[in-house]
Amino acid sequence: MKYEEQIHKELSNLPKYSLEDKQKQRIMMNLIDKKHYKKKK
Amino acid sequence: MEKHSIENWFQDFESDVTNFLVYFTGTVEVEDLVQDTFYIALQKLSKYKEDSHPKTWLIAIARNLVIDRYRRNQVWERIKYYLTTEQSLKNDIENSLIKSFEYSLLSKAIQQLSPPYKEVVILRGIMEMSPKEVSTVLRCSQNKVNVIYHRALKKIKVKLEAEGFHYEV
Repeated sequence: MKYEEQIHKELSNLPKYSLEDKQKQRIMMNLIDKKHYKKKK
Repeated sequence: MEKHSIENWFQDFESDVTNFLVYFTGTVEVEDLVQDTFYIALQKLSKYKEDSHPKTWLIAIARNLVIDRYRRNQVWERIKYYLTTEQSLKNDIENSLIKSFEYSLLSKAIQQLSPPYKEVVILRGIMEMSPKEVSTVLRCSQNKVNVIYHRALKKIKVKLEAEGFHYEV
């Protein structure tokens, strides 16, 4: 395997990140609030 | 019924935005940046053009947000230092989540790349976006993306070979 393919594969195997569920819920609540506030304005 | 729902986009693309921000800033503390990315997206939703995918649109917002914020707060020098110079393995990513030796060295090699190479490596390599998607985020041609990515892989190869790895040419 050529080095380009090998390193490309290694890069795609690096850990993928996501927020914790608690953080996601907090942002979702804030987004909904912000959206309602925007509509009222 | 609304055409685009920011809540749906948050559910669908939060992990893409978070992933980009973690590698771009070098820290896992990106909750505020993720939130602000979606706040800005909500404000600009009426300007969203459907010729770009929501994911690339959101990542472009996240990228600009980081650059603007660090510049405005005069912390840009800090992140530029972080993005352009060799760092010890004491950053958040390596400490908290990257466990294997190979991943640590690969991550270290990415951190050592200059910003244009690092951006393309994150988007094209780690996030597996197509050259077209990367060109949309970075507002450049697909050809430029391919050239930068090719050069970045070569730089990574040189760095990893210096650590004892061997790659076929």
